[in-house]
Amino acid sequence: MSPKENLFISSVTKDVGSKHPIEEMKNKLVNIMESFGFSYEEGPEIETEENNFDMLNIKKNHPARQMHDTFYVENRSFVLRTHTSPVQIRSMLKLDPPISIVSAGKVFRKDDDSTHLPMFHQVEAICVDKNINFSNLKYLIFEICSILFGKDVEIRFRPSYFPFTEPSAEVDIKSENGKWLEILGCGIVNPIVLDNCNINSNKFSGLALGMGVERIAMLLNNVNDIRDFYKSNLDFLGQKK
Amino acid sequence: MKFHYQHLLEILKKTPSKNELSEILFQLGHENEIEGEIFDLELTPNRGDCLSLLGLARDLNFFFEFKNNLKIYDGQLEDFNFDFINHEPNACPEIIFLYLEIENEVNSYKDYLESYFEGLPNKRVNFFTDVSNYVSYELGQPTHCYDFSSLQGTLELKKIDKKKDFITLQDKKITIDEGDLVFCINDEVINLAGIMGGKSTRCNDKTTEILLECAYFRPDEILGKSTKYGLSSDASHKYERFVDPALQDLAIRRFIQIVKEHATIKEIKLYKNSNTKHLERIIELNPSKINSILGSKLDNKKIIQILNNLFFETIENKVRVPSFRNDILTANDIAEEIARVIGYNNIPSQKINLPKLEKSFSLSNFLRNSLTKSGFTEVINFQFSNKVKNKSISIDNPLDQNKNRIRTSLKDSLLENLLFNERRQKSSIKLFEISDIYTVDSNGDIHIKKVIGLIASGRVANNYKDFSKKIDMRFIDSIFKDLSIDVSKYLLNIDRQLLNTKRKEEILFLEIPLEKFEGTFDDVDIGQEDKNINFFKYQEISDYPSSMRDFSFMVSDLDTINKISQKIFDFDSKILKDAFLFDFYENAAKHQVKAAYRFIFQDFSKTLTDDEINQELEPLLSDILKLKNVSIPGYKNDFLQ
Repeated sequence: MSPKENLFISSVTKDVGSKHPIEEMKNKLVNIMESFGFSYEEGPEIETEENNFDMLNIKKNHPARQMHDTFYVENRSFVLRTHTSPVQIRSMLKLDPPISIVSAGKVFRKDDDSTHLPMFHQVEAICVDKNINFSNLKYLIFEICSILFGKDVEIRFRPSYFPFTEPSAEVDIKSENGKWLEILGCGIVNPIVLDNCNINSNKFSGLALGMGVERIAMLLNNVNDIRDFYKSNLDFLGQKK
Repeated sequence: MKFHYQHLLEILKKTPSKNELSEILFQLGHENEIEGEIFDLELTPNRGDCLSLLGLARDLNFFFEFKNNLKIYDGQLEDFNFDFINHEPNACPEIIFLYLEIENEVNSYKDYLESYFEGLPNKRVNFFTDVSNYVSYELGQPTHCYDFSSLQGTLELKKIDKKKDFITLQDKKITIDEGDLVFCINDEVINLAGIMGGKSTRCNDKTTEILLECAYFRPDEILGKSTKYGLSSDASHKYERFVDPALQDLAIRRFIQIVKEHATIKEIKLYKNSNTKHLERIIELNPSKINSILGSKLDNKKIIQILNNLFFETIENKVRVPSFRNDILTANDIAEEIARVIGYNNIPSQKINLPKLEKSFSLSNFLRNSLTKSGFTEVINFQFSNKVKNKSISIDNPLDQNKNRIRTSLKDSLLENLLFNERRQKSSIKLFEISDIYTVDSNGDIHIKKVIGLIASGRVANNYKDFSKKIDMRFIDSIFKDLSIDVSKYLLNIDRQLLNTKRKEEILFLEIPLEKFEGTFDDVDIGQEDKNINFFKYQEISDYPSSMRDFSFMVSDLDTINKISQKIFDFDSKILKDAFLFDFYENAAKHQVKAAYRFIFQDFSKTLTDDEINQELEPLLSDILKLKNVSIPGYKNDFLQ
C-alpha cells in the first residue's frame, strides 16, 4: 500500500481532532523562546493598573488607559490586562537578574471590528542581565524570524515607541508579494521599568520583545480573517488533523 | 499626517526622490504611504514635533538639510491692552493674543496657500481660518481665530465649576464637564481650550478684524477630551502629542506674514501672557553608554555630528535638548536618536548565549495532545458573558451589555459552540477548551482557576467503526481511562428541552479544574511535544449549508475498497469537502464486501442543488464502477447515461 493510501485509509477509519491554531502557534513561539534558554511564566488575565500600566512607565494620562481602550472591572479595581507585559513585571519583582522569561496568553483591548478583536493572544519575552544591548536583541529577532519564516526572509527594523522600551523597534518581514508586514515589537527595556522593579539600571540592562499570536498565525497558517479563529466552526478548525 | 511632497522639498536643500524620502522616513520611524504627490505618515505618539513640515524637515536635516527659508514678519508689534485673565497658568503656561485688522476681505489666495487645498484633506473655511490651518501645517502650532467684533467682555481661561452647554464652530452642541479647560466671556463658553472654538465667535468670509489665540497647553489637559466629546480637530491631535512651548512667537509672525502677502494690514497689536521659563533639559553625553546600549562602536565625533544635526546642542559632556523634543529624557533616548539616524538595520547583530533549560512538563499540553488523539477539537472562546452569577466579575465598560461579566465556567460558551456546529449539520461534535476562569470574593479579591471543559454530542466518530455508536457517559469515561480521575462526578447531561434545537442526542459536558489531574500521570506516557515547524495552511470556509450523499459499494475483496478509497481521494472537486467510510460488512462465504461511503458537498457561493451534486458525482462514480467486480446495489442505471 502506498503512503498515500495509508493516509487515506487512516483518515477514514481513525478519528483525530485538532488543536486550536492559536494555541498551536502560541506553543510554537514559546518553544522557540525556550530553545534559546527562556523559561515559561504565566500570570493572571485580570491585573492591577499598577502592574499593567504604572510599573511599565505608562503614565496616568496615556490614551491606552482610557475607558474606551481598556476594560476595567469591579469598579475600576482591576483591568483586563492589555498585554502580557505584567507577567514580566511580576517576574522581575520576584527574581534577581539574570532573568530570561517568556510569557504567553490572552490579552484584552476594547476593540471589535473586522480586523480587531476584544481578546487576542501575545507571546512576550524579556532578558535582563549585565551588558544586554540592542545588537543582542537583533540577533534574537533574526533567529526567531528565520525559524518562523525561513532563513532567506528579508527583515526590516523600524524605530517605534513603547513607554516600556527605549530604544523601541518594530520588525517587518518582506512578504512574497514584496510588501512589508509588521510582525513584532521589541526594544531595550526602559531603565525606568528596571528601577520600578528594584533592578539597578546602572548595573543591568534588558531586552524585550512581543509578538501578536493571531497576526503570525494568520500569516503562517494562511488565514485571512482573524474572526475565523473564534467562530469555533469545525469546518475551519477541523481542517488540520 | 498628510503632506505634499513639493511642500516639504521647498524647505529642504537637497531634493530626494519620493522613494528616497519614503525610505529615510521609515528609517527614522515614520511609517508612510505615498499616494501620488501626497505622503500619508503614521507618526508614533511621542513625536508630536513631527506633525508639521518644519518638524519633518528638522528630523530629516542629517540626510537632506533643512533650509530655514520661511518668510517671517519681523516688524515691531505694539502692545495690546486686552482684558484677559489666565486662571490656569499651569495648564496653559504660554499664550499670545494677536489683534489684527485688514482693510478688505480676501477672496483670492497666493499659489502656496492655494496648493494647501490640492490633494490634501483640507477644506476652505474662510481666509483667517485657512491661514491659521496653514500655519499649523507648516509649523505645527495650532492657533484659533475669533471674530473680534463678537468678543464683548473680559476673556477668561478657566476650568469650569459646573457643566455648561457649548455649540462648536462645526455647529455641534455638547455639554462640557465640570473641571474641563475653556475660554469664557461673561461665563459663557466660547472655546473648548485646545480642541475647538465656538459658533458664536467664529470668523466668516466677511471678517476683517480678528483676535488670534496662540497657546501652549500641557498635553495632559487636552488628552482624551476630543474623544470624550466626539470632536476631532487638528489642534487637539497636536496638543495631545505636545506642541513646542517656544514656538508661539514664530507662529504669530508667520501668520502675520501670510496675511500681509494677501491683504493690507490696518492694525496689529500683541498681548503676551507668559508664566514660566522653559526649563532647559540637559542630559549627560556619554558615548560609551550609548555604544553599550546599542552594541555599536561609534566614535564621539559621529555621535556629536548626529546630535547636532537633530538640533541637540552639545557642550563638552552634556547635551542640551531642543524645546520641541519633550520625549528625550535619558541616555536611552539619546541612544535611540543615534540609532534612528545610523539606521536600526545598520546596527550589528551579536549572539547572546543563555544557559539552556530543560523543558518543563505542561499539563495543559498533555491534555491537549491526549484529547485531540481521541477526536476532540480545541476551541477558544472570549472570556465575556452576560450571566450574572454569584462571584462573577463585572466589567465596568463592556463592549455591550451581553458581555458585561467575566465567565465563571466554560459551559455556556461550549454549549453555544456545540449548537452552532449542529446547525451546520455536524453529526459528531466533540469540543474542548482549556482556560483560566475568574471569580471575585466578598473582599474584592480575585480568584483564578485553570479548567478544562469538554462537550460532546452525536455520533462517536465519522468512521465505519464508530459511526453507529452514540456519544454517551461510557464514551466520555473511556477518554480519561488512563488517568486515575473519576470523571463521573464532573459529568453533566445537558437537558435539550431548554435549548432551541430539534436534535435528540445526549449532550454531555464536564469541567474539571486542572489541579485535580495532579499526581495522575505516574503511569502515563506523556508523549513528545510537536516540534514540527511546518505550518498548516487553512482553507477558507463556506457559510452555505453542506449536503450529503451516501453510497454503498458491493465489491469482491478488501483490496478493492482501498482502490475505491484511492479514487475518491484523488478525485479533483471544488465542492466535495469530505468523504468517509461509515459502514463496512464482509460476507466471507459469498466473497462479498459491502462498503458505505458518505460524501459531503459544499460550495462557497451558493446552496448546492441536487442536480449540481449529481453532476459532480457522475464522473467519480463512473470511474469507480469501471473497477472489476464493483457495483452499487439499487443504484439507478440511467443516472450514468
